[in-house]
Amino acid sequence: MDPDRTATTTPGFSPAGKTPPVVPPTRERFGEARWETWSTSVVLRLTDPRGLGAARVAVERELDGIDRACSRFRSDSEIARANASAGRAVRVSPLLAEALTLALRAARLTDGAVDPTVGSALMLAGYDRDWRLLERPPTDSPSEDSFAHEHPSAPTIMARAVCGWRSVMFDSTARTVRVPTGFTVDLGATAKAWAADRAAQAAAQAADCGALVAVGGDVATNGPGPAHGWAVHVTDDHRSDHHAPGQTVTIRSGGLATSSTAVRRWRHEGRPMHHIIDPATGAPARGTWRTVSVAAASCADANIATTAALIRAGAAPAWLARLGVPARLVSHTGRVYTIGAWPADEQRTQIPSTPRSDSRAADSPQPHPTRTLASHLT
Amino acid sequence: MTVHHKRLDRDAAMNRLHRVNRWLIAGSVALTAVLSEVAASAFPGSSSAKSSAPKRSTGSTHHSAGSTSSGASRPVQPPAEAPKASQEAAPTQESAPTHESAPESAPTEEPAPSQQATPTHESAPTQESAPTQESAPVQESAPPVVSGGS
Repeated sequence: MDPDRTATTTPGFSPAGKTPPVVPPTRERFGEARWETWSTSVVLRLTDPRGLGAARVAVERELDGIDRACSRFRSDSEIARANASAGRAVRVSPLLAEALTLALRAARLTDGAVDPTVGSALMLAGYDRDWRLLERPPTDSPSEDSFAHEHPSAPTIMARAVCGWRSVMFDSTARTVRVPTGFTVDLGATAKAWAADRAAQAAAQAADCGALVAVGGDVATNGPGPAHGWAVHVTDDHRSDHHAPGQTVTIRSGGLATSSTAVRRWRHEGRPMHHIIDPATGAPARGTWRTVSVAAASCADANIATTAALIRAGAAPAWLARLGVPARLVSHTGRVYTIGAWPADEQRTQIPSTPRSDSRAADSPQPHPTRTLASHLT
Repeated sequence: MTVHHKRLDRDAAMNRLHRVNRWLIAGSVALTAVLSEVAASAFPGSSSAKSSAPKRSTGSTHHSAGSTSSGASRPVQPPAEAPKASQEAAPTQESAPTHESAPESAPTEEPAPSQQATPTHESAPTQESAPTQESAPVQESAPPVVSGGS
């Protein structure tokens, strides 16, 4: 059998150390590989299966390099060393410098809604080790928001541990960063989607064909795609199959990201937690939306928009419309809203886009731009 | 004669001491410069002038030099082409109640219609729909990649 035509599949979660089962390819037109890394799944799909072997090597090399630069969970990573040297400027590699540039750009574009200094807050929330080692909540209902519904009157007892992205001193010319003393930079909000972008580019170059890479549900494409586009099913959990409740769309280029508070939940000191931290409170976001999907020119851009939308809550639809990005938002009760050019969903409510003449405001989005809309939300 | 010789010796020694002192001063200056450069490279930081630079009213000026590099302030870019509905969903779109003008009042915890964002096509689902049949060529060859929270 041609090894390039071999597809490895990993249905569901595969614990570390176990080799995922190898399943013979049943589909002929795409080359596809699936594996586990970073406690999440990676999907590599090519328009030409002959380049699968080389593309997978390129993707794994790319992800490994990013892991060594950006992982908060590796004591030998560059970002871990920068965090350990908080208060002092540390010289970083070009790769980490690019990741930091993106993280700070995300913070700037979202007026701090996506903040890389939430690392300390994440650790306070109990996310201080690999995700697989955290205690899961007894019931993990994706339709239920842990804070707004399970504990409507529970006071927030977590200390505010977000120092603010502006306190990170990063010099892109000298490639030095100084983390504020006592705080931790976490690149998790932006690095995964950025990794998908880089991996897709590496795969397309290695295989010399169109490539799609999905890292934990963040989808990036590069090169000429299939004639009908790449089919992507958006849903709450990236580990679901394509029959899970959601919508299937096709994209021809760029990226598509989905963020959700319905997944990556754990229990800490008896309280349910999730990984989307609201920098304004230092606690997991209690937003209106359960799941947000956005298509953009890159997966990193799409991911910036989805994460910020979960935190912006009621102000998110107007903000997304001003950005001009197609988006799909699902509320905690399962009601679906689409924004901009997102394709029709039979069970959706469409929120009209802001006219393009107003889209220049996207350059400087306001934190709560639509009081009228926000006033209807809790 | 002896006195004269002693004077000459003293003058010569003074001249040598002069030269040695000059070299010592020049060397210490050079060494200070070298050490300063080494220290600056090893422990870079921002100058007080840079740190206390006046902030813009928008607050967008922070200490990151990255803010001035190209692309660092680039807004979120929409896709070159918007996503399209998968062909498998086309039949259901046609039969879906997308043009009902149901002025249903939204629950308090969901975005309700407003002047600025009025839902023109509304249905009241409590469950999202699952895709059914795959018919497009791209789906014939492979199932869709799943994008979801992680």
